[in-house]
Amino acid sequence: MDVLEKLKILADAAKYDAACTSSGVERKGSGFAMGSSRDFGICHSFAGDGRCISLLKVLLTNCCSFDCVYCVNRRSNQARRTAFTPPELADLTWQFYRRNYIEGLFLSSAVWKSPDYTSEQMLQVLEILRYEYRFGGYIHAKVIPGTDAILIDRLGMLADRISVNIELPSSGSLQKLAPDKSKDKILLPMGQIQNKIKDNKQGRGRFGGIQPVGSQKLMCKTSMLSQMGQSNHFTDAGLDDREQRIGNLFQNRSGNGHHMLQQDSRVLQKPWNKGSRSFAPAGQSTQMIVGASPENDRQILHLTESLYHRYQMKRVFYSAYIPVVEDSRLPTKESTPPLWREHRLYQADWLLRFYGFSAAELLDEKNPQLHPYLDPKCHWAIRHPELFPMEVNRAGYDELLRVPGVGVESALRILRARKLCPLTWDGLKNIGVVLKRARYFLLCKGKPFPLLSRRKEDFLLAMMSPKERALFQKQERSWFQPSLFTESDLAFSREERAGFADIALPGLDNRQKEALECVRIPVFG
Amino acid sequence: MRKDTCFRLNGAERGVARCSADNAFAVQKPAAVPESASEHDGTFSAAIPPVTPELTYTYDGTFEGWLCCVGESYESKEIPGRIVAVQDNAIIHNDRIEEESLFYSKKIVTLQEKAERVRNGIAAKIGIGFLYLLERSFCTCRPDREEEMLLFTHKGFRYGMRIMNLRQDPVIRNIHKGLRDLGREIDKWYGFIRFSDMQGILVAVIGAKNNVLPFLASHFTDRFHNERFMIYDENHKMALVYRPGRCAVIPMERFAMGDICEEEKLYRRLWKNYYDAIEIKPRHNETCRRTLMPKRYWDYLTEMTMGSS
Repeated sequence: MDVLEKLKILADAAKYDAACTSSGVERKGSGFAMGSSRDFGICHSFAGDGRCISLLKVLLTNCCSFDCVYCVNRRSNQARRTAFTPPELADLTWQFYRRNYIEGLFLSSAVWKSPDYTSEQMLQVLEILRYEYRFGGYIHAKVIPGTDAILIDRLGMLADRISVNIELPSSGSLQKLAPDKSKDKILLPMGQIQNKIKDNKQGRGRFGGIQPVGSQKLMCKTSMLSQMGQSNHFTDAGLDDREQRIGNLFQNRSGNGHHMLQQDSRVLQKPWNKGSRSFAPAGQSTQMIVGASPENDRQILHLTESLYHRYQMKRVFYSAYIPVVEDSRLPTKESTPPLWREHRLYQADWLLRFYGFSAAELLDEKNPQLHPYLDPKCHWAIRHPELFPMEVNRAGYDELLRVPGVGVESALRILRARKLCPLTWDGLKNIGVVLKRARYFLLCKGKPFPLLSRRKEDFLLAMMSPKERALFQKQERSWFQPSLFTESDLAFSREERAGFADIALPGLDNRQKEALECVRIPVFG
Repeated sequence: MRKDTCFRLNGAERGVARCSADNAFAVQKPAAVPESASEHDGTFSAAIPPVTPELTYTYDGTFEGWLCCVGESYESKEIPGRIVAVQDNAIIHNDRIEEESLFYSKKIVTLQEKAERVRNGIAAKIGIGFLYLLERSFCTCRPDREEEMLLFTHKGFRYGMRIMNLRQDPVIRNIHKGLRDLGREIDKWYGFIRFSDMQGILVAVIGAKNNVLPFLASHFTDRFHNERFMIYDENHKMALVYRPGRCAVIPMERFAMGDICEEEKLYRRLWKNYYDAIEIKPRHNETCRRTLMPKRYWDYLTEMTMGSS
């Protein structure tokens, strides 16, 4: 099988991993290496589904010994199986990177023989890239649950971000749908990674830390020795292997046009990344599948929150379940992926990370699901009329962040602009506040927005985005007054609205209808 | 790479300002902002001279030329309604050639010493950061950018660097808009440039709205430190060329990519294959793709121009 076909199969098998970010590390290119990394992340293309392509996202192999029900690579699924050899994949990454197709490599894998064996194979790819090609681009590596701690350490030293997928939002579902994985096997490496990142951060610097600066070779030996003390799992073979490879570097340097380095005493002392290397500098992330198991939004958000707090995750990704295999334990193959729910969860996730909300504020036992037609922030604001209206010239940053229509950026701009002179409604508009929503919640110099309509219908319309309005009209016409939504209100063409049919959107339940009907509009002035 | 070999963006770094008696931009303390809002209309324009709409400045289209316009405007205490570039006797305004006669115009001659003096004045009175903003603004494709930048500079002289936070002012807002547009386009091109390997040299063609080439230089020279590459901008007829140690932005009338070799074809095919395979078909969303990757970029993307295999 040639590389073309392998790439097709293994990219196809990897695409259900949601994460494809390349942000979080700023690394300058060095004189020897090719490649750098930017902390804002760079998207190199966008696939037909609108998702960013930043990294070469492939599996090392799709030969799997696990049998997770939801997974396309499960042992019992009939699929073509193949595997990259490490040099093959390293070369592919290198060539793509050179042409500016990608920002780096996202390496994941099915479980081939055993988690440890697979991780060793992945390590080989990373070592070739980092040590032979002196590759300075971004690498994201997946940790397979059940991998030995030593291997995780080595992965983290070579990769920029590592991640363990939590897969499903509760241990019960995990037991049912992924019998080979368990809660402990997933959370254990997460904890290890977190501790390692913490230690590494504390210890970095010229004289502290795990790695003495400028003695790469020494570092290899000492860390290897200490590792061998912990476990017999890893023998001297690994050490020899790496040393040999570094040695080869000197012998082969003239060939193959990859700008091998001049023989120079500095080579060994300078790792691919100048200074001491750090353990997974871009942190760790995780992913869970939404819609394959019965957990509600509240449980998912609470889990997310604890992941952020306990494990210092950089991101938690949600992936709407896409039916790829038929099984009695899963939604039917005809069901549409719950994209709308995924969207709402991401909105709530942003509120947790940047807006200072807690999961308990957003959802409680009475409202366990996020509202289908109001975004979580609007919904929260409607439920807390006692806080509004807010004087924009006096409110603090935290308070401003709670106002629908004011984001992180515009809140900061307000703080800076009002130092120069008091803000007016026109000024607010120029600053970039979404007045359509914010005008109901703010006062400017003690005055409300001029000629503001207080009708409940107008208020609710203002709270919805055009897309939400279109969906609302489609599903709730009979309940909500139809005259409210004239065609001109909807900036959406017919095709686009037809496109919404694919979105699995739940209707309002009775409780939510009641809540909407007796909405309290912030009335003042 | 030395910074000054690559497009003179950082001229300001050299001249730390001298403030002599003959300097038109002798240091004054920035004016205090009126405390009470009722005293002004929130646009901070009370302190600068009124605009003379019928007056036109003509200059040679370079940044130094524009700086001389600033000097002239400051010395004669007037603000022209229009600033137009004249190149080869053709009037260029908003990147279009115009034919109207200039009945009331001043020709501003570009003098290096004068430009240098204005540079130093801005660096000393407002800050080097402001000069950097002006250089960036000059490379945007905003209509009337020269006039807006002049007003912006006047306000900068009056109120200092904090004028940037005054986003409620239309001039500042427009400057911010232009800068944001430029910044976004630079970010897009960081990702969307597609190199082809032509006998060891990496070659890419782009078509940019703003003049982004000077700003792409540092990123790509840092990343492809040991490579030789060229990025050609079709719209501005300029090229960014680099070989280890040297980098330059040069004018180039035309450029056509030659025949590509088999190896290059293979990697293009691999990339196209990868692009097609990575999409999750049940989630297809054309609107989202077009928002994030507008169609004007598609002509320059390997994966969008190649037919599916």
